[in-house]
Amino acid sequence: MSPTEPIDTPLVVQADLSVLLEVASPAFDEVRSALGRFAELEKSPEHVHTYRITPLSLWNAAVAGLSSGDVASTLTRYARYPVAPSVLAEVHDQMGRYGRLRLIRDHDTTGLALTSSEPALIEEVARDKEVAKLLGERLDGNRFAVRTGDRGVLKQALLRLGWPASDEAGYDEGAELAGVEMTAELRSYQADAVAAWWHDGSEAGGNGVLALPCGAGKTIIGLASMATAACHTLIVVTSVSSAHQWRRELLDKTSLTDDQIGEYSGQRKDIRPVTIATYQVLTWAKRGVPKDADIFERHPNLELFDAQNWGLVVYDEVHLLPAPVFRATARIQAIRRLGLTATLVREDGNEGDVFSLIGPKRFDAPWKELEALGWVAPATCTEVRVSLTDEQRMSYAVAEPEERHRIAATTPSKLVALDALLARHEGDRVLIIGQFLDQLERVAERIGAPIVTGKTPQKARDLLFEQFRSGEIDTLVVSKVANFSIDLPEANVAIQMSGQFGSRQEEAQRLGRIMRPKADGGTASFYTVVAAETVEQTFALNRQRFLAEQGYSYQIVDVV
Amino acid sequence: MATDWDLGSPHLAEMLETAYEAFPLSAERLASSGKHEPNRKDVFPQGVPMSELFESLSGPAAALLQLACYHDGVTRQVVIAESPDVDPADIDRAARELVASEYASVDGKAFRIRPDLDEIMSPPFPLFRLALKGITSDRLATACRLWGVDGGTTKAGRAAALAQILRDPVRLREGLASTVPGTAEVLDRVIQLSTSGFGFVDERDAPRGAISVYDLVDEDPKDPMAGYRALAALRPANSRAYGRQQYVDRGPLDELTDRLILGSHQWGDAVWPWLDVLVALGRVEVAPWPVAPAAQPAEIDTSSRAAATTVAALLELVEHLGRHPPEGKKSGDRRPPVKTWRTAAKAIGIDTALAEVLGDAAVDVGLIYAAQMPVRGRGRSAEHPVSWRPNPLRVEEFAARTTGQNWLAVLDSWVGGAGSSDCSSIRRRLLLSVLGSLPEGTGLGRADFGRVAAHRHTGISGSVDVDEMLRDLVALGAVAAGGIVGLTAAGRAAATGAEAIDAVVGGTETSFVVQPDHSVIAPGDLAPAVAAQLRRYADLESEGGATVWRLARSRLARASSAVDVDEVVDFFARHSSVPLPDVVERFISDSMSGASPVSVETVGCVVTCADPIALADASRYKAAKLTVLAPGVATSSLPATKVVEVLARQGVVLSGGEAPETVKRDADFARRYGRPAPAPTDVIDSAWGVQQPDPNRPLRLPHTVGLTGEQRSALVDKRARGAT
Repeated sequence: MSPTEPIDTPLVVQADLSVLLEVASPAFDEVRSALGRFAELEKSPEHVHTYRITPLSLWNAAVAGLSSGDVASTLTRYARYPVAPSVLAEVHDQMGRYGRLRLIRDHDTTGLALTSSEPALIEEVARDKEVAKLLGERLDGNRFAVRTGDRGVLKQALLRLGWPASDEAGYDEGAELAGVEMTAELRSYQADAVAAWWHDGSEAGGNGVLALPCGAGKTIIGLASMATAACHTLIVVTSVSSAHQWRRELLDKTSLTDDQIGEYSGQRKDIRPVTIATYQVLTWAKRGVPKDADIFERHPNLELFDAQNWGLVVYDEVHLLPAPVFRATARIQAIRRLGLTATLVREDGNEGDVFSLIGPKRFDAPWKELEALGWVAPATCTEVRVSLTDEQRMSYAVAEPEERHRIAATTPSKLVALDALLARHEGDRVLIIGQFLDQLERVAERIGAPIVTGKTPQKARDLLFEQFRSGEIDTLVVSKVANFSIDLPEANVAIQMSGQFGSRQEEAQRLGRIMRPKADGGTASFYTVVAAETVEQTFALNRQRFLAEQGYSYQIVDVV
Repeated sequence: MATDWDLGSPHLAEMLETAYEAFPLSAERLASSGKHEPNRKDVFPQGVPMSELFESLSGPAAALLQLACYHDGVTRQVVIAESPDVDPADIDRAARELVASEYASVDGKAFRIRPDLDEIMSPPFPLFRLALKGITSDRLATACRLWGVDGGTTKAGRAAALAQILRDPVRLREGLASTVPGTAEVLDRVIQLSTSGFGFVDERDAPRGAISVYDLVDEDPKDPMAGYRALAALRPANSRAYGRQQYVDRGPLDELTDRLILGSHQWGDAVWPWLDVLVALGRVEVAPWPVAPAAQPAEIDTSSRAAATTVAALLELVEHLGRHPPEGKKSGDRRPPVKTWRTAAKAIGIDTALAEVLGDAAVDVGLIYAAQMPVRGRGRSAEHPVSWRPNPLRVEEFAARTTGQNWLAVLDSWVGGAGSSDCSSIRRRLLLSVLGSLPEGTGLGRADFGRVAAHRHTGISGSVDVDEMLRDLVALGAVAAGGIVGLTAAGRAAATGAEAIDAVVGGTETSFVVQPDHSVIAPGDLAPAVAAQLRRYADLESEGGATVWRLARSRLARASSAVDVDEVVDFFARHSSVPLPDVVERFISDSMSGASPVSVETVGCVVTCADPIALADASRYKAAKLTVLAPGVATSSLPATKVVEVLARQGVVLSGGEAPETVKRDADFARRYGRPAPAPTDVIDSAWGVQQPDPNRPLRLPHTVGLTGEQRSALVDKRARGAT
């Protein structure tokens, strides 16, 4: 296999439904955009990208209007070798499943109904124990009544059965948010993303997930979606800092005024036409209420979903959506929903729930593509390996396995490497990120930089972030509180002193902190300092592979 | 008298062709050059053992044989009358197969099975005609008297008269009506138990369908004698003391057994209905004619590259055993313990089922052999353990052969060798025959395949067996992966020979793409030698038009005992069509020289010996203070000179150096297998009690599996010429 020879059949379709795409092919761009419509990009290293066709990706494609014939013709047209009949049969089978069951608004009863034109199919699913519990009376041979509150749970159950239902029951429009407009201009891909989600306001759209890399302006897409829907909106975010950031952006890039924006967090409980809430406050559990109690009894703040006549719920970082919010979301399926994320990978593997409850993936743009267009800063990743001293080595050797990670991650040897890196990036905006607070405090003390951790009061955090953004301070030490949704666009260097056990999600998010495009178009540098020949090196290997799979150049440097 | 059977005459070739399709094992035996030595088990002219015959009978052939047996020769009209829905052409086809294979013949209008086969045919229930040997003439006379027929004075005459009655539904019903009340009900109960699969008694000589008479009565837990009383009511005559039978107070069971409507055991504890009676009363059919299943073949991807990776995995497995030689508990064990393969599978990253298949192949081919270890214990508790080790001579020979030869040897071992007639071997060959009969490049869904296979050969109708066999064949690369069951190109070529396999699996490409995420994308037609080496360092992730591999830390670490980092890096740099990423080079280096939790102690000396058994013997001398760490390696707390001295006193003289070329070979072996090579001798001593190939004999060439179309045509021509 030689990627240097130009060929216009760059696809290799494997029997396990993975698809290899050669980057060097002249037809690469054409094939990539065709393939991206029905297959998930799994990894995109330098020469050959790997896509995977899954039931979810095929159902997403079916939602987008593709037929199995379209998929088969793309595969066969660009495939270098004949496509195995079993692959085409699987595509045909899975795509044929979507939409044969429909959730509709029943005109006779004005309630919801599950229907199908195939009596045998509806009979089959109605006999499933899970589904049977969620179906009401049989309206006729092909229709079952469905309780409004069971709309989401039923969709989940049907998806688990392998028969995803097409939700055509429409939405409650919600209270109107008159006169809201965007005051900032959208980039072309952002406008495309909003259009793909909105679908001209029809019942076929209005839900789903937009997957864009960090720095691609997901917040702006959220604002534009809200402006398009022009209705009362609940925005659910990961942290208070992120909530403040959304608020800033709402004020800066839309015509909304301060009195129209509310915050529902641990600090404030203010409900307005546009309200920003945190996952944490929504999932707060009342003491003494057993786990198996009603979800609204155990998590009373989830009542927020019913507190206003919301017309849209925006879920930021949807891949982190906690289980109680999923369950609450299952009950508000009549409200338009928008999920924003950089990655659809959920470490808990619940991608199917995102599909059922938030909606199918409506749009995605790979990091490298946006990087090539200049919307995301190019990044280089470097693993800096430091050696433990003999004394540290011995402590490490005799430590209990659960202690080893901490000993390796917080080794003082890393400080020497940090000094060298800071010297190399003098004048740059540097984020120093870590997992262990005592290590971060030592670092902050050593280099005389401010530190932001979970204990830092919100006002102080906001002030420090603002100072960093304005250039007043050029180095900031942050704990994992800054992993998500903190917009520090001028940061161009990230030094990761310690991290979780090789979490891919964390790696993507931390890299995302420095990928906001730079004013000078410069490159971002992402360093991970690891202790050689320790468990850290093993964890770093997972991250290294993840970043290489995403197409980032990765180097390993030893510090002696 | 002219026959009305359409046997295709004078188209003898056509007859033979259809016969060989139906009886592939007979055809294989005819094609094999080995001379058949008749014995008690192999009664047929082709030298086919009976076990093979019955396993390979097709559904229709089995049905026709049953009918011929039941009727003691059957006409075409009778067969058609008994199976009115069957196409007469199918009946003729089954007859042609059986006649051409000499399992049956046509005598005028009657189709008869061979007399010796007739004897061993096993109908679904006992046949009155075949059971006559066990019935005395007196019993027959009594039955004739009770039925009111004149059977004459000979046993044959009486039997003929009774046989006629037992197959006559009108006479049977009349007879039952005229006996003591309840007889018909008891017969009905016996038939019900017998035909519902309940029929089973733990008695020697009790035929199929026999039930215990105690099952005919209900037991009352409060009254243990109630059952006996109920039984006595069923057969008062039989319940009297011996010598006082007066045939008064006869019960229903007496009537049924004395009239021979039911067969009975000599002790009277078991009874069974005759097939003749069951058929006459319409309770069973003699042999339901199986309907050919309709199945539509679908296209499959025949391009599996598993053949090359299988051979590489076998060598890797042997290497693993070199590092961890398993011990058999006693010398009679024909194979290393099963856990060996589970451990090996985990260690080298292959499926356990494949490891078991490859482990068996390693023994059969002779890549590993069992060597006798010193006896442990004394007297009756003495153990004669064996140690399974790689045979360096055979491994070398094996590695020098082509992928095709080696893969065929593995497949041949899985089948059990051409000459084997044990049940699993027969079923495996029959399964391959069914697979081979599907059109090239096509396969059937699993359920359809099961039906077709069971229709073609009654012996492979068990779904579990077929699933297991298919799983093995997929792992070996003979059957395509995925839901559709069909032969890969390599699997089909196995009938032709190693060269044909090489032509299919022998790719020519030698370059691949190594990516920074440690993945290696190789073309589908990668040269087997390169693929084999790649497999040593990487896990196979997916197959299809290309093969996708992922460098694996564990594989690289294992390889470090045989190759060094530079060699591995050089291999990838040489074959990668793009520059080798730095991170990959680092990964290789890290994996092969990774730190390990090693503890170091000072010992007096280390003693090594090319022959682990000799060292184990030496370690018995306690004065030397030897501790055996691994086969061939021991330590002693004494200094080396002292150990030499102590052992010399015991008559064990440590030898000096060896010839340079021998040392080199030892070094190669040690690097590959992690221990010193056995003594460089041309003779390897194997364990005497283990059934294994002679380790000193060169590898044999593998048999081809099944027959190609050309081979079958040649066989047909030869036999047809012989017949004319």
